[in-house]
Amino acid sequence: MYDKHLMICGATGCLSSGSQSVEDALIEELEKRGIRDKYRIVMGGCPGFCEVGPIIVVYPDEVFYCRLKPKNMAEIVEKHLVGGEIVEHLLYKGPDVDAPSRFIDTIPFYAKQKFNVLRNSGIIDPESIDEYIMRGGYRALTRALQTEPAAICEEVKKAGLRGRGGAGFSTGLKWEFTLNASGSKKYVVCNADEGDPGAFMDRSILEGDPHAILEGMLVCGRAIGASEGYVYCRAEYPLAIKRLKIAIRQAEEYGLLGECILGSDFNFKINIKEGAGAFVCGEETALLASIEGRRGMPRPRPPFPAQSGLFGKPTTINNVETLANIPLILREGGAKEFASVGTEGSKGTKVFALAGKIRNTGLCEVPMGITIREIIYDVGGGIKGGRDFKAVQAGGPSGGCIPAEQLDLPIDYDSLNQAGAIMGSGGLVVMDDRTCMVDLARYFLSFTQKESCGKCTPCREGTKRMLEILNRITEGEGKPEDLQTLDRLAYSIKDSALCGLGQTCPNPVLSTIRYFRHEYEEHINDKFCRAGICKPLFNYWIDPKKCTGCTVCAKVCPVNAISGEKKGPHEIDLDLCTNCGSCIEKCRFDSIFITPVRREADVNH
Amino acid sequence: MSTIKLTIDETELEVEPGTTILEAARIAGADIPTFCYDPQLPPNGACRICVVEVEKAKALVASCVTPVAPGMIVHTESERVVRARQDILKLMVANHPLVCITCEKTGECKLQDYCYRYGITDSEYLGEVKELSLDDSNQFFIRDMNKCILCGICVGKCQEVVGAGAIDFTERGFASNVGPAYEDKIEDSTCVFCGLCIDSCPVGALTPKSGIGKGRPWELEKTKAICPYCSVGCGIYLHTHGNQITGVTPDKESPVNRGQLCASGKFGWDYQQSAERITAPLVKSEGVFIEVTWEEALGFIVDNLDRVRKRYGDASVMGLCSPKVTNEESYLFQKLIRSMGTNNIDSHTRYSHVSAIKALRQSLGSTAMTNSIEELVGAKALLVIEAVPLRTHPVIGYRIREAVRCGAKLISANEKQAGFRDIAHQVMDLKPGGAVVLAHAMANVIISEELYDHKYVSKRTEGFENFKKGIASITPELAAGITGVTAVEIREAARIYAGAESAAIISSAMLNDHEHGEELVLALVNLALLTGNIGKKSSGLYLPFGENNLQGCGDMGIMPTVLTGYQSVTEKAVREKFSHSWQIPISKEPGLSVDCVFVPQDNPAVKAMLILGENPAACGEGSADAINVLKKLDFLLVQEMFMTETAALADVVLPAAAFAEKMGTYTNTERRVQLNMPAVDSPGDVYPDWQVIAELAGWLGFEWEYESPEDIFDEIIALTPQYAGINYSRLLEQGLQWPCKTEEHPGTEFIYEGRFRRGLGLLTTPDSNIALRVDGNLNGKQQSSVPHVCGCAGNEMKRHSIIANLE
Amino acid sequence: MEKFIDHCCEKCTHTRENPCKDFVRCCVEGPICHEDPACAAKRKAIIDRVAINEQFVII
Repeated sequence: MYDKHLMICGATGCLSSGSQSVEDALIEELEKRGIRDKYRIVMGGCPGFCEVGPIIVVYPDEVFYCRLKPKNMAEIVEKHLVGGEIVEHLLYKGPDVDAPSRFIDTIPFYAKQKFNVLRNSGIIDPESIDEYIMRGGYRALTRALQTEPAAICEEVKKAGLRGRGGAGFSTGLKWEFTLNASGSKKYVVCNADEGDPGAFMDRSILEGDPHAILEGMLVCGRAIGASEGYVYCRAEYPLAIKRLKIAIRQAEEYGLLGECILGSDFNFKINIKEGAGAFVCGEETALLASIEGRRGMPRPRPPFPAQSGLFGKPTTINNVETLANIPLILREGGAKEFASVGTEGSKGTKVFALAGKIRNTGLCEVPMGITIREIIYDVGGGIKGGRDFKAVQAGGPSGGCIPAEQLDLPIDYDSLNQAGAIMGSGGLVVMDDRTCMVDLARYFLSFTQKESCGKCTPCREGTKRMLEILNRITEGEGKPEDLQTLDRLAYSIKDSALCGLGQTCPNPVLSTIRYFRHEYEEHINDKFCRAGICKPLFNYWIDPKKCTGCTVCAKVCPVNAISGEKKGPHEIDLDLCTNCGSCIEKCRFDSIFITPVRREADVNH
Repeated sequence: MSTIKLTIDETELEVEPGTTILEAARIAGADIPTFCYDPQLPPNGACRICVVEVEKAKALVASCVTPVAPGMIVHTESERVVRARQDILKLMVANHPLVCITCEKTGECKLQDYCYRYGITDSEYLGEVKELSLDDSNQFFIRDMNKCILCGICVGKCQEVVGAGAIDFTERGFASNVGPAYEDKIEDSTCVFCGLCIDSCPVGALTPKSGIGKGRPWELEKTKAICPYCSVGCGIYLHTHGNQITGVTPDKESPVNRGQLCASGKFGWDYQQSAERITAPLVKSEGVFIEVTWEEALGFIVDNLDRVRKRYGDASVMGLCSPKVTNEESYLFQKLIRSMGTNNIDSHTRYSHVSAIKALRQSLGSTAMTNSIEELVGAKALLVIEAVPLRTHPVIGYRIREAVRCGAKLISANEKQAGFRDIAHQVMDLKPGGAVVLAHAMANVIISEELYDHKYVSKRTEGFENFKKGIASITPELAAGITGVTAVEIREAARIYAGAESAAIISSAMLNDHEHGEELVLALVNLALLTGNIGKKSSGLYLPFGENNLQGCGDMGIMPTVLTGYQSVTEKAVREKFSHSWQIPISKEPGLSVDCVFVPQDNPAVKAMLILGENPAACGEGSADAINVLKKLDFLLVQEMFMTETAALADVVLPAAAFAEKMGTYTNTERRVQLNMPAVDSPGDVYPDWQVIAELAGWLGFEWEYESPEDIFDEIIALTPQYAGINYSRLLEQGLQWPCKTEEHPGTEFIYEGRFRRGLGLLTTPDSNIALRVDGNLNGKQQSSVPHVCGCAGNEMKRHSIIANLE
Repeated sequence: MEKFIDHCCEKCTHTRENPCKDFVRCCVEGPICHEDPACAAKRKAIIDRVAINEQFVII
């Protein structure tokens, strides 16, 4: 028996922050003292608070250490593990707490969260099937094997689970369509392609709790009458793929995958198919084509995959997060409990990836119905640097921006749709006044144009032309008719494109024009980017009245464009300035302004 | 199933479930534009120009892929639809070189037409344009992908219909393109130059080189003709400007090829313009040919023929007729020979088919192909055995692929690669000679597992008991070692073939080099008879002939034993009928056949030969013998387009016409008589062959009066029961398959519905030593070699055409 | 018994070729097919080794 368990976040985010070296240092410190065997160290899944990684949570003490470096390990070992004393300066600190927080229950980031899908993430060793079973794993499967397929579909329907990949279609209904389709060979496909830039909800589930997906697929297979499944996982997630392979092997060893599972007449086999770097393969029919070895291009529907999908057989395709909810729903009493959270039309929870200008970046799982304001300010801790909220982009390249006036919208499929936004897969990119909305639209459009499969004219050619217009606008070559052209083209593309990628890629453009038209007009007519992003469209200017002459800006300027005496007003040589923004970032006296090119400041930054 | 009611543009209509909005709209008379829609491919929904507005739907829907639903209300030209279409066109135009002034497609280009229709004068979506280099690597066509609108039809045709798989979509986003893998030139890819992509492209991205600069589409005349290469007889249009052929396009309405061709049909017509053509009569004087006038030549011929006949008798004259000339010409030729008092008339080229011909005559009574090419699509199982249709009869290959797309199971059993590996249910790589043993072993399984059609066997066949005994020893286990196929696979193949609702066998008729050709065909007939797969739709035996008019050649009596319609010369009534029409007596002695004449002998009976379009001096293994025979002749007349090896040995060479220069009918391998119209005048002093034969007949003293080929054909149908109901007025509409005995008869799709030509079908008991013989020959000479299509005569055309480079 | 798939004693029969329908529940709550405190203790040992706190196990 171990004295303590140290759960280190080994998810991709913290790994890139250095959690591997933290683990190595920890082990070294323990071995140095010859006490390695008393402590269990697990590189586990993501506890969500990526902003403060690397993270170690000590159990059963329930202490949450964060922002760790290898050099902190000696202290933790000496002071806490051996000495029994908490290392205060390594606890969570922030403007949202009066004193350092000891554990999750006092960290505001976690206050409004509810862990359904992330229930095991960070708590278990993702490479242990036994731990998954201890946490109630594979009970839903056991129960499903004793339930009629139609009844399983009914339960999922009643629970109100809707597809978490973005479309929000009733999962139980989708399963029912496939169950009722004729044919003896059917497939379950898990869409783990997660292509939205900045989204990593699915990745965390796959890395942190892979058995949840396997169980979800097994229950689905039982419900629709399938005997084989595929996980289509993007190749850019090698850790997820590794964990899935281990989990499949373990499940096969335990007889939870294979033939006559747990003595029933249900057989199920899961294969992994790695993606090949195409965003469009997150689209159902393109994904199926990719598994079949063909070029990943969508095809028209009907026929729908439920009738004719993989290899022409009835197929259910579900998103990772959707499947991760299934074991919760199908266990005894699970459906009722699941439906007790959320709104009328949107039950359960949703995982969001918080990114951008928000203080608490990371993953959070919140009940449906929570408002956007709560997510941004309560969970997210508000805007970084105390700046003003401008907008939040929900749904990645397919989504729209939600401006300040809509902050009180609840997270709910239907409410968001009505407001012209979409839930999408859960990526939330928060923006402050230093984000240029035109540039944001351009960024998303350059992504979708590169990823467009090229099959249909509106998407292939239309996104290129919209991108060209946006490029021109951000370079100061905007023309007065551009907004009208963008508008017209965006509607045509939405109205006539073949698949979801094409139909939704104009959304960032349309929603930013809708809510931030003045910014576009400023770019086009005044050639001014007030957010200070589009380099040809602004200058920095130091207000001599406010400048204190601290010389910090001059020191950080990489091209020596700032001159001035100590304690005297400084000046930027516009001929040398490259608009890199280092000076304005460092100035603590608010004396640097973003101005239109070669004009005096008439706008506050 | 009940029909679906919907409204399109205020018109109410009722259609079958599964009908797409596009199809329904066409019924309602609405003209919805399409780029990427092709009826021979599954709907694509890519170009989006066909979008329409459906009330209550969120976005516009692509009408080509959306099935109708009850109560649907569709608007095909609403403002919203027009706006979307205009934007799509503007987007296309923004990335398309607007070089309509010199583009060969101008006037026939869909992009042009739709821009005109929707008033696209410019595009507000201008920006970057593609700058791809032209693929000018081959002799046949140019690929300008800057003009490509990525409709994907070419990809579909190449991958699905033809199976060559030379091109696909590459890259993505704005850089999307269509082309071979690794940006190879089309020349270096698996392209077979069938031309389907060219003929399907809605814009000017793919241009045949032959037509460049030779005329705008509206300046060209298009003449309906029949391809002169293989026995499929594809319908084509010859494009001409003035007296010059500039190109060929397929006839989309032809029930034979439905708008598809192969490289031969698409590009192989250029031999007609070859500078090597003989353009005037030639007489050999002191070993050298000199050009003479027609009078001089004909006089010379008549003098020599009279001399030979006087000295050696009528039976010393022999005529050889090419299976590539028209029915009318074949008919006149044998009439000429027979008018000279002998039945020595045959076709040298047909001898590459002799094993198959013998086998079919023996077991069924006639060699006519049992079913039509189109019926292949409906077969549920296909056995391709010792045949490479994608090389020899590409359109048949395309139908086989189509059948598989429609759900048929394909078994491909060949010594050589047949090219069906990607779609076949079973692929068997046969050892040399193994085909016949495989067929026998399959029959063995069909009998031992009681899979045969008892009723059919007892009512329609004879020889079953003997056959059953004889086949018993050729078990799958025995066959396994000899054929190279496992016993399990043999059983599976037999079960698939026998168990299908209708199953077809596709093999080759050109099995002369095949050691066991005759036995193979007999074995295949056995399989079909056992399972009741002759005499009903989408079943039968497909042993397609090589040359375009080999069927017609036989039909017209180019055989020493029969007159037209296979009516025997030994029957008095038959002779009297022909005699009455021709006004000359007809010999009752069957004539000499090619295999009697073209062998080494000291005292040949034949002293003079008239050879129309054949080349025995260059026919492969028998060439040396043939040359000797020809050299020994007293007099040799050859009628030819080119100075072939045989023509070089002649005393007189008369120039022959190409198919594009003469009117006449050809009968394809499915017994379909089709009319070919001339598109250009012959060069030099050349006349259509029928006129030359008639002229020669006149000089020989026979009074023939034919004003046109139609007159000849009218005479043919009066004497040939199978052709009786066919005439030129009907043929101008479409081809007709014999038997067609009356003018009301629509032609016969498949034969032997009631009885076989010989009454009952013969189940031929295999030779008990067949297995040993095949096994023992494994180290012997090459067992099967399926020669290229067109035997000797077609090779001559190919020699003078750019398609020779495809070999 | 190192892992749940290992048999607690000869009475345990679950393998993938010969599955037991109660296997999953038995991992944590077992043994089910027979009474044996020693077998129960083996399971508890597996659990205790990795249970980070008292709320770890979910039935």
